Amino acid sequence: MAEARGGSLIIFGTFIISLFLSQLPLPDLLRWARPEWVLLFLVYWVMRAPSRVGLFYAFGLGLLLDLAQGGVTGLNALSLTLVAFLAQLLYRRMRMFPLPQQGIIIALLTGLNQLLHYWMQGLTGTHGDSLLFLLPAVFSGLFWPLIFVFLDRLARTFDLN
Amino acid sequence: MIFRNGPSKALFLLLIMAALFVIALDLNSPKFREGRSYVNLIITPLQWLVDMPARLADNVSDVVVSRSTLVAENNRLRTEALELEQRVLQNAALTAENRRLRALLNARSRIDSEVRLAELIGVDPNPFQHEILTNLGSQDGITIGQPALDSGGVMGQVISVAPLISRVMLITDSRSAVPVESVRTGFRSVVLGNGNPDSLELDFVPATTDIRVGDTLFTSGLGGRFPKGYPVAEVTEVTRDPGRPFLVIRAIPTARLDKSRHLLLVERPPALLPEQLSEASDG
Repeated sequence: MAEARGGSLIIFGTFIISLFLSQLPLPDLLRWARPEWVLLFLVYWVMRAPSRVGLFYAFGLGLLLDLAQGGVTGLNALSLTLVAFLAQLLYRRMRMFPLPQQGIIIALLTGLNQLLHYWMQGLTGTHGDSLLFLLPAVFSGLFWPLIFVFLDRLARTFDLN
Repeated sequence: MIFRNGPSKALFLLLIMAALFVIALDLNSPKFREGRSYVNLIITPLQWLVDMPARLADNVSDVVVSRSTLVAENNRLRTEALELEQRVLQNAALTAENRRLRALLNARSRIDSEVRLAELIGVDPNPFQHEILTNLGSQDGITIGQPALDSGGVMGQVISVAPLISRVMLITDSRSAVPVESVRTGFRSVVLGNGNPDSLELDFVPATTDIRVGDTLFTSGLGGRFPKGYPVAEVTEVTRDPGRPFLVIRAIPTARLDKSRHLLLVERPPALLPEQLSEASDG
């Protein structure tokens, strides 16, 4: 039992790191080049430890991210819950895929997340006319192998499932 | 086990409904947003942590600066101060004259706005919105709606306040609109942000309007949110397309939105307009 609680703490710690990464300032040139860190970490843990990290986690993280970003409250909660749900549907298959193929699915999931944000922007104001908002999806897909390897090593070290 | 037969659809639906409910609440209830600014305290340590590298770098560059640079900067600042002082002297005379003339015209004399100097402590990383965080909050008397300026002109307005920090929406944000007028012709319009960090738009300007590249647009004071007479933008592009009913006008902000580390938060003057009017313009 104590071990299980320790594991949850480690998972929670990685989520704090992802929140931190998602808030780091970037130069204007790279503003669209930031991978969706929280989403990537979330999908990894849903795949790795589906009995621990699920929809509640996604919802709570989304709310925290909303607070940090200061946008419409509940938007990230909505999109991350949706993404986590899809990840729960897909995780058995995704575990079998090689990393680049997983990256492609991650890019699709992130794209969906971005699309929701784009729509919400349209609802609350005007939205830009470029497709730049889909760039984070590409970068998330590219960063996926890196994050997978990093978190996998962590999970193995602490024997998390 | 919840996940024996795939994910729980009921829980999923419940959480989606909850999220939609929160979104609706956020968009419609000002009370909810107020409450939210207190919950924001949870996340404040994270924001300070994120800003730490920039603060450290600032401190380091303050410490390791050579003597000659300091002397040069000091000299430059001294000449600048002299010039400004001279201009202030002129200004004082002009202000007095202006007040006298306005009194002659029986007009209400303009109230000098009080300003608070705030420091930038963070930039919103979300590319969908252009917002910055400042180090003053409701404990310092900051309220929602206060205009933010830098030395170049209008930067934006305060849109949410937590006890220790506040959030300023820049004029380039796609939700932002600033009532302006052109000094050259007196033409009034509204400058809209379009989500690009370095461009602004003017919508619905009739094709016969006298507006040129290089025109500076100042706040008109209409709407009651921004005080009158601060520079906002400079027109950079005017396209007269016979196929369109209106001109396509682009402008750049005169404030250095991405470079200013210090900004001025203007104390709002007591409402000059009837309560209903100022409320109607708040949207």
